[in-house]
Amino acid sequence: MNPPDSHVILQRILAYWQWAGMPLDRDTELKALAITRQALQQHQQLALEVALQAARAALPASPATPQAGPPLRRGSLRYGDY
Amino acid sequence: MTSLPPTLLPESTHAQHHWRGSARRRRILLLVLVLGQTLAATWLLLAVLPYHGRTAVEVGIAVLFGLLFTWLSLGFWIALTGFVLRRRGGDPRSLMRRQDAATLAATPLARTAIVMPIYHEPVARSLLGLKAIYQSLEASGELQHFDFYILSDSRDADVWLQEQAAWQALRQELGAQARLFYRRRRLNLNHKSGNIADFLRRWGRDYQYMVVLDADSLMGGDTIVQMVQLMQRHPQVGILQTSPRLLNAHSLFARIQQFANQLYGPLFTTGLAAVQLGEAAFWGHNAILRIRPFMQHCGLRRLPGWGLFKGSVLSHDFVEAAYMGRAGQEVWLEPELQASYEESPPTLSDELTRDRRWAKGNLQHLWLMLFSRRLRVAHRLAFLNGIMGYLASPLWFGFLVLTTVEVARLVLWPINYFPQPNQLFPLWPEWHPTRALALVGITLTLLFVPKLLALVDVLISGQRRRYGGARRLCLSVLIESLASALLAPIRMLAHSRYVVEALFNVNLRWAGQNRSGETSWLAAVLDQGVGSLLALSWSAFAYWLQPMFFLWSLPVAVPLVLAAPLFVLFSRIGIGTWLRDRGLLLSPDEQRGNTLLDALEQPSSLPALCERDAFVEAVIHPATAQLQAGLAHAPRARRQQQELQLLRQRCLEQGPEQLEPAHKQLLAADAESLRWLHQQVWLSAPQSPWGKRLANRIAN
Repeated sequence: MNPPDSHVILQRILAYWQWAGMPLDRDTELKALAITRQALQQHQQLALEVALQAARAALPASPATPQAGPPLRRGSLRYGDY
Repeated sequence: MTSLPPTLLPESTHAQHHWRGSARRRRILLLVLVLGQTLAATWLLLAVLPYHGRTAVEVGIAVLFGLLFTWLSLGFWIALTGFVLRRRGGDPRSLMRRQDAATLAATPLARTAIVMPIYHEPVARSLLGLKAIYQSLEASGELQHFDFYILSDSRDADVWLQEQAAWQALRQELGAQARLFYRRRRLNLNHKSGNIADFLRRWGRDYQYMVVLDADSLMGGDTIVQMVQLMQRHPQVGILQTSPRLLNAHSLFARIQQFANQLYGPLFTTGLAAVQLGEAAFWGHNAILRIRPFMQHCGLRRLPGWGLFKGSVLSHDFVEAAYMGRAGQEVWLEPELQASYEESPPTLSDELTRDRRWAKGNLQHLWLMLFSRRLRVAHRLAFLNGIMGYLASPLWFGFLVLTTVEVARLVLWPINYFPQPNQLFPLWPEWHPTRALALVGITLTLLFVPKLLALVDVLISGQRRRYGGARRLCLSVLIESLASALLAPIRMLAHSRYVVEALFNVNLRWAGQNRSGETSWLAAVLDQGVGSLLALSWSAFAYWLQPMFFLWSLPVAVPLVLAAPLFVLFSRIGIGTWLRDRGLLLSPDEQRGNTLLDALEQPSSLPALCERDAFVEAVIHPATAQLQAGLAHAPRARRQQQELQLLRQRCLEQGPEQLEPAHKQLLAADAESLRWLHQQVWLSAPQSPWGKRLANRIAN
């Protein structure tokens, strides 16, 4: 295992989870460690990609994109004479 | 539409038309007073001039003087009217006085959209203002009748991404998921009026009214509720305009503007509203509009003329008011509606940048004033009023030029005893210094009496403490008067230039208003250097001609010569704060506190969010990336996909700072590119541009 790589992977997983709204506690940190270890052991070349995929999969389903506007109710503007 | 119970039925047709008789009488009286005063002053001027108006130059001087004096006299009588009405407890003909407070409060509300069009505005300030309005409406208990729309025309990717992220954060802070919406036009045709029109075409039919805000507007919930209730009670009213007060000023310039607005504003708006009654103007924001007639009658065609008078209408608000009036709807200005605010441009430079746009927009109204069919006379006069707001400057400039020519002729040319052809008797040029001083006295009276009336109004109504006490209030009026005297020639020269530019149809960049920052010395010198040299040359010429004329030229020449230092000085926040700390240039809202202003200062995630690089956040932050991709375009046509692929590859390899703004916009507007970049950036090598950026973001 290459120590800097594992550090980067772990750091990114935790940051990703935190910014995605997952609370960071001891359990999630252990989970991140497990994902990192497994990714490095099984897929050395693609470890980061595999680890982040696993990290994303561990996130709860993200809420749908907010509705920017209510349903359209189209009307038209009338243009009078000058 | 919410139907009104029988006890709350709208007023009768008789009451609706009762104001027209009053309006006619008031306007005739105003016309007589203004014309009478102007004719008397012009006669006095002719008595002062050496040839008593018998030369072409003197005729020119008299004509320009008459036009300028009419303008001054109009302001004077309007202020006096406002003073009298305020002393008598308000205008009995105003919309607010048509029903008692209990009846108004019992009037049911109707669906209303609160719209805030923005274009490259400071995002945190704009949205915090909207938050304050939202919370104020929530506190009023009537929030369920209102929806909020942020209508963006921003073209810069960093700005619109910031707007979208801030909108989402604000929705979460307020729990306003079903009530606070965001719309960004991909094609911003026809500026702000086009933005509003776009909203109306999409959602206008969902609402009975819309309250239009500016990016720096603040309005109290109770005031908005009252406005809707007034519209409900008076179905013939198409637009109800409040009189926004300035607040939240920090720089010396803004504090002077704020003080003047808060002290003198009520007199002028009360007087103006009393003369206009149901044929007032719309100022574009802090107003409520009845959507149905607006959609039926207020679409703005492109002007069909030539040059300046061809293309889209730039200053839309006056035109919309005139069209509403043509459609039989009334337009009211209601100064008694409290809790309506906006901010002053922070510096003179910012004010003049805004005036440049407004000058062009107002001069464009000349076409509409002359050629539009079936407009009400009052609305044509409102156009004229707006035009004169800027045309007065070149008229004043022309007056100064002709005065200089007159003095030069007297000094340099031999005296002409027979200035007119076929003249039998010689004319001896005369000079009457006492009459000249009387004329100056009358002019100064017109300029300063409204300020004194406003001061008296505050002193005798027991509001002096709100301005820091009588002594500080008087001192503040002196400071403001000195400042306005210094700024007037600078504004005159700048506005003269803008009028000429507008008449030659010089293209202007449509830009959002700067609402912060100070003016640098370099910018001030570059901007004002030519004007200062012109004033210095004129003053030197005046001295060479006649030392007395030189002395007369000083009130105009000195501020112009000192324009650059004045620009810098007035923009300073430190000086504004220093004066405020000593109880000078205070406003009542600062003294008694203002809940809306306090709400702007409440802790919020928006300021910190808006300090971050919005594009980087849109790529890195998982939740923001999802939001921004969700709001971006669906995948584009295949021919554009290839270009986008190249761009995002470049962005990934070199970092976002290597992208042209246009390329950044393309990527930020494309959902697939944002998703791809998000995926790739998290996989980037630690030493790559994005890898380093990600590490920094994580570390911070």
